[in-house]
Amino acid sequence: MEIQSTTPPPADRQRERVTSFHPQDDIRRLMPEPQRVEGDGSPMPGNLEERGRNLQENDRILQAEKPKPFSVQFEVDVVQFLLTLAALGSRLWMLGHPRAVVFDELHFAKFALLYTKKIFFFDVHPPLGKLLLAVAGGFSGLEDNADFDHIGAGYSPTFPVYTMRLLPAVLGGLVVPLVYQIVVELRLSRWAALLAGICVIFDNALLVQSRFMLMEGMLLFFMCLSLYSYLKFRNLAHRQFSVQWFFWLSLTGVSFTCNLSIKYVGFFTAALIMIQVAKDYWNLLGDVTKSDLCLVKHLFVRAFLLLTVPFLGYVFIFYIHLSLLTKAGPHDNIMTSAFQASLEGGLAALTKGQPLNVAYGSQITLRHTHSLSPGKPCWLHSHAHVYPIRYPDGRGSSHQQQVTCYVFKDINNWWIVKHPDRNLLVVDEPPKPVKHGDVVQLVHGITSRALNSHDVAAPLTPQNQEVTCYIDYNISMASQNLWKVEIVNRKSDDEAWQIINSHIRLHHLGTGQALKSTGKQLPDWGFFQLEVTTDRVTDQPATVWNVEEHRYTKIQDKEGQTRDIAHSEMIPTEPTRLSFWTKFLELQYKMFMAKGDVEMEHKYSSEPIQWPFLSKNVAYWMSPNNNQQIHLIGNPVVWYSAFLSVILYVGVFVFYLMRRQRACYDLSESDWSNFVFVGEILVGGYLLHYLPFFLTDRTLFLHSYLPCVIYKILVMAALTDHLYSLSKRISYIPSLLTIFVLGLVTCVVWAFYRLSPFTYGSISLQTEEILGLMWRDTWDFLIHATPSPPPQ
Amino acid sequence: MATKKKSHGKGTIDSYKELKEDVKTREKRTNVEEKDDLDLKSNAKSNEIVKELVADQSTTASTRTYYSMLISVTLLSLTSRLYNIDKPAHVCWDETHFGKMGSWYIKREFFFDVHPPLGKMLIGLFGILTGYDGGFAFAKPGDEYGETRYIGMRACCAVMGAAVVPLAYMSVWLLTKSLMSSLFAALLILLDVGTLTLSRHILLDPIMMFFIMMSTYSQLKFLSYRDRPFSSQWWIWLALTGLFLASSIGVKFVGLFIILYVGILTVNDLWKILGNQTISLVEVVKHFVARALCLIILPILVYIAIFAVHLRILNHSGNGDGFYSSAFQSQLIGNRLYNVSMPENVAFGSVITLKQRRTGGGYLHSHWHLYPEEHPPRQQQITTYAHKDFNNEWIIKLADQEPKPDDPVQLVVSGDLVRLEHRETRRNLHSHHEPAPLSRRHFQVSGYGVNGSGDANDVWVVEVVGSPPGTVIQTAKSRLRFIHYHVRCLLHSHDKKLPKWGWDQLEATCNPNMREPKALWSVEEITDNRLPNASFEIYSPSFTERFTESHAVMTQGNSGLKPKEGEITSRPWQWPIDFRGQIFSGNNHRIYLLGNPIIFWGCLVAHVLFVVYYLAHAVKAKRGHKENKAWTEHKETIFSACWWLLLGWALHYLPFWPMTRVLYFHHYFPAFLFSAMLTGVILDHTIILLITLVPDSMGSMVFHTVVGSITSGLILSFYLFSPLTYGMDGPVSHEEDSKWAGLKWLRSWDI
Repeated sequence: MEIQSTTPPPADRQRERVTSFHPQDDIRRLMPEPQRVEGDGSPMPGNLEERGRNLQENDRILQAEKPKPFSVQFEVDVVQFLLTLAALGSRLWMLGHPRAVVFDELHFAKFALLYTKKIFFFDVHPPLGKLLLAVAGGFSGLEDNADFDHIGAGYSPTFPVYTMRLLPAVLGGLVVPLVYQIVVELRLSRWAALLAGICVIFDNALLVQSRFMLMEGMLLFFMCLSLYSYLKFRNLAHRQFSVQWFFWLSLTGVSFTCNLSIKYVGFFTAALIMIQVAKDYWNLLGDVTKSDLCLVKHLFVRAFLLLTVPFLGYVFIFYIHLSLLTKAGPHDNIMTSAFQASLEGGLAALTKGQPLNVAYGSQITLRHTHSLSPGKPCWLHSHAHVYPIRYPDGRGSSHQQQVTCYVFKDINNWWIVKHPDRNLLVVDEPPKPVKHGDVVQLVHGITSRALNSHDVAAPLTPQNQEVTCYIDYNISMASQNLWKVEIVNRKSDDEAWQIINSHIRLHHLGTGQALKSTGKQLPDWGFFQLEVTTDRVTDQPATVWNVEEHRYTKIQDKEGQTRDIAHSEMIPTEPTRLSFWTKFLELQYKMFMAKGDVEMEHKYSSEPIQWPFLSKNVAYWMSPNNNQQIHLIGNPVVWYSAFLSVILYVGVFVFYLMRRQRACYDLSESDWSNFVFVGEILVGGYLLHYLPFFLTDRTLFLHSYLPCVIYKILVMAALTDHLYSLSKRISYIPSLLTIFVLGLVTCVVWAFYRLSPFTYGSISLQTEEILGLMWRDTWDFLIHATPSPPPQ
Repeated sequence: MATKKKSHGKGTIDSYKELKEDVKTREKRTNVEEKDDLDLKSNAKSNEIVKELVADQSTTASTRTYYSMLISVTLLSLTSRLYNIDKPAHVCWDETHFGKMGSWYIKREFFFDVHPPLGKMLIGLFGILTGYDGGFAFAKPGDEYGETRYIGMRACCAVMGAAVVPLAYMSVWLLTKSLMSSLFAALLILLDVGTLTLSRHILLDPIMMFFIMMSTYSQLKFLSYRDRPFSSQWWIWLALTGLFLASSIGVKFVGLFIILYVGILTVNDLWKILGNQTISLVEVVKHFVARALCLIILPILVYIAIFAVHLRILNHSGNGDGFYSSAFQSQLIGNRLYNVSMPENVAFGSVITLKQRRTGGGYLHSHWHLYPEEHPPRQQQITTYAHKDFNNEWIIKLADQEPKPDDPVQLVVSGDLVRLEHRETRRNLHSHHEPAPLSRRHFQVSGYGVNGSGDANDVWVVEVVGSPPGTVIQTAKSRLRFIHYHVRCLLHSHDKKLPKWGWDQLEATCNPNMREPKALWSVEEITDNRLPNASFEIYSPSFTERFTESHAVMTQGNSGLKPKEGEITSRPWQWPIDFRGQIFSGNNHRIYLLGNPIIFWGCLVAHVLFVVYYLAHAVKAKRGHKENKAWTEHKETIFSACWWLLLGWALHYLPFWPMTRVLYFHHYFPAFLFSAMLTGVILDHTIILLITLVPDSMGSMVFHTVVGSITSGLILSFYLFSPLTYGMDGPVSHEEDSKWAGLKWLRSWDI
């Protein structure tokens, strides 16, 4: 080993400095490393020494030849090629196993299925990843008879498990050549690139996460692609406005758009690139040889390709998403009535043919527009029961009829809009529409009592006013049942109140407070319906309502009106259509608002602080019959050494910085600036993808850390390369370092091999073996329970 | 006021003119460089100017202006802060808390608060000094003070609040050496009604703002002795910085931001020293050690000393006991655990109370109430409860037999199967495969059975963590786990509060996650007359332990301050735009905490202006534009001052964004102080820019007009909004006949 890796003959060295950078030079520099790799795990047999010699020969031939005008020069980096093969091999091996729902496939496979059925669904992540899955599924005959109820449930025989897992697996495999190329574009040696590639291939977590119908395989691919194309673009700075230059710049923009359209965490890569582009541009400004016009052109091109195009791309993906999903489905309730009505079936079936404008005499149901907990809409409701005279805490009530918000469709949700000055409840001919700013009374359809509010504390929210249906007890408290209609989303001030589309706020005349659903559940006396109050703070989402169902009152007498609720003549009108932008903005709003409602506790959830230390795993799947199981767990050797590298890199940087401040320049200026740039990109990327998680309130899982794993592996490669180039100043150290790195790679492969039963789920281990693999006592592998002895 | 303006005008307009002429001549010079004669002339002229400038600064006239302005600003500040300080004669807003806590210090009763003690100790001290006896209850806002001597406490707070204005003046002077900037900064803070309101009451805020400004000032003062390192003034100001830093964080934890600020300033300073090749490395290390001593070690010592005083003063039992561990409580006179003696081990048949071993953990508790119907099965509730209560008592029994009076005493050891019977209701601690009411993944824990007989689901395994099976359980010391025998889950409780039906007590559950580190319990009290009593040495924690525990409890309390449902909470984006204030006092002497909108919005504009100026300057420099030297130097001073002030603002403002605890408008005011100082500097710079733009002849006029209109605008806005501070009566602003309707500029203000 040592003999091979000692310094090459001086002539060679000389040439290394003079000639341009060829991969072959490096292969000569450090021989034995790839052998270990190819020998282990990788399906490709090969004798690298031999290949190396061949390459040398090729190289010599290439250099000996004079440029020929009509020939194409073709250069293949064999190492990279082999790495790609190894990566794809490891990702694709046993891809169809297990034929059961693994972890979040529960959601993503279901979403893909809903795409094929065109049924609307709601998810907090943007749609691109699911769209791609659906495309993969669609090509291979995804049918709508699949049924997923829990993790571990088997797929039906017709379900294209293999092809649907193929897409993330292939993209996840392509991460390896991209990582390799990123290292090369960072102007580090190809040995470092090889090290990074090996670490990515043999990291169990990256492998598991890209083998199933999950988002991270695609996410990481686009992340690396955007980083790679940015570096390409940056290295083409001397050929500004050339075709390649444009190509790589636009690819940067497009790929980070794809990245953040899979998961919003992709935004951090985009931010990293933007910051670097801004910095590059700033340095460009210092170049006085460039004219102002040229600089403006540069700015414009960058802004267009990195801001405008990504924005349009992002919107376009949503456009596809929304134009595909046209049917009503299980998640409708999260969206507003207007949104629901624009889908086929569901609410649209109910509301089709309703008169458009609410008029005096209209019968309506009022829906709380932005329900506080998603999926739980409610409608303004009243019933012939009164508030209890006294609450448990000693406060009194008005003892009038309850008004609540009820989560089911009910006959008691109907209200009639009445003109305050007239007693008739019938709609005029022609109907007199209610406009923004008009004052109305709302009469409850069944009990005929009017919606009322007064200065009595509400049952659960004492700082708000109670809302009742007024019962005249002939005592001092007069009715206060006038409400002023404010159309929140109006375009002009004399707009008429429309069903579904108009978001309205009902201001109580006199107190100025607004009708609100607090989202709190009333106790048994209120039949566990939701509390309705009026609130002094009018400008909040909880005070917005909209009309959902609507018909005109035609019959004057009471019984007739009640009967009318069942049979009513409808005026045919157009079905509700929402513009794309309205739907898009609403969906965005709901996506960002819904973040906080993810369930808070989970056995396998973890805190960001635990991630670098790999103190928790996530169980993905367990065979019902034996101990075959799949876990998300990183390769501890890779994770620990890479994490250490991040710290060391920062340490070395600070050391240099302090030395420079004392005017000791250890590195040449160009080496130093490259060292800083590599640090900014890689360590910066690591921190950008890691630190923000400390601020989130949501339940987090280990897989959120995977982008950081890529970055820290890259840092490890960069650090190794740097140390190696330093160590050349002292004899013997390079070979020691080589041996150390070789040892590390061996450990990586060994750890991968030991943990691979939890990665592929192919072997059923014995209990002792599983216990033996619990290297940290916080890891939690599953063992099929043996029945415990009965107590007593 | 008038005299001050005049004297100041004389002082600065000259320097403006000079600067401007300087600029013009230099510009001319660059334009017509070929003309040597002109060049020479202007050179001579500029030399003259430089001389004049230097001379001017050292003249006594200028110093006199500086001090006369300082004194007048201080006097104005004191007057505005102390005017009508006795009104309203009732408790305003948080005075109810801090007044109460001050009283407790005077009465030496232990209490719990989320803030460190210095601020409240000072309030207590002010009370003692001004003859307050601690007798007033401060029960709720709006209570009349009557005969109570409260004015002293308010006045002392107000004086500290008043000191903020001259401190800002001096700090800006140190940063920019510009009288105009300093004066504007001081005026902005002086005339802001929000700062004024906050300074006039018995609150932590005036104390906090004082310490923050004091830290900033002493750090800047220290930096101004840069060229005389290790001189006595240098040491004094460095040590003072450390002292005030400790005081800031001793009042509230937001003091952390000022520590960060000073930390960054110090690192920057050290970095420059490191880069200075004339200073040897040994010297650099000396610099570093000096700062570490004064800015790290000293503050830590002072901070610990504050707590030592706090714990020494509060040695009587009070209402804060329940938040602390048994050991802590045993130090408080009047507490049931004070000087107590009880059995050292637990035997079957003993009556015990179990306390969860985590900060804020309560006692295992049950009572005669069932879980409501929506959380079936309807068995008796088990909760944890922070306060002492006879319902916390449990009898520990063998799993399979009833204790008989003549049984031999058998000690409970780790690994035993036990049952826990609630002494009052005689039901057993029970769990089963039913979801807990709030944490749906945990199992319900309930009281089950009649008169102590239940079923097999009442069996628990007791384990001493970290000891082998068979270890005897020790009172207070042993860390216990209770494992449900059938379900395999841990008796656990966390911070989730049950709704009304559970009396707002904490939910107790059985946690299926057997790794849960917080599911630990300890036996706190034990009654068993069969066992010998032992005097408890273990109940005397050291100061360090008490210090650490107070902090753990405070942190917990702080993060527990989540907004209650339906409560209007203030969000950080609302603060700089003065979106909504806080009601301090109601009735017929209404006080409303609201920033002076002119000043707040002006500050926003100034921030934007700064960014624009800086960008323009930076881009020009980057593109190789040459400007004359004096102008560049002036800009550099201004911009570096602005950057530091902006950093101070950002450090005191941005960290609030990700915070989930309940926030209030008054949290913004420390940041506002920095924002106002920044605005002062930017105003000055803008005026200079204006003067360089207009022709020479109009310079003086423009200067006077602009300064005059800005000052009078500020004063006018103060005059308009001062009733918010000094009290308003009559109908509220949204009613029609209110005389305050004109002030309601934004719909969200509840004036």
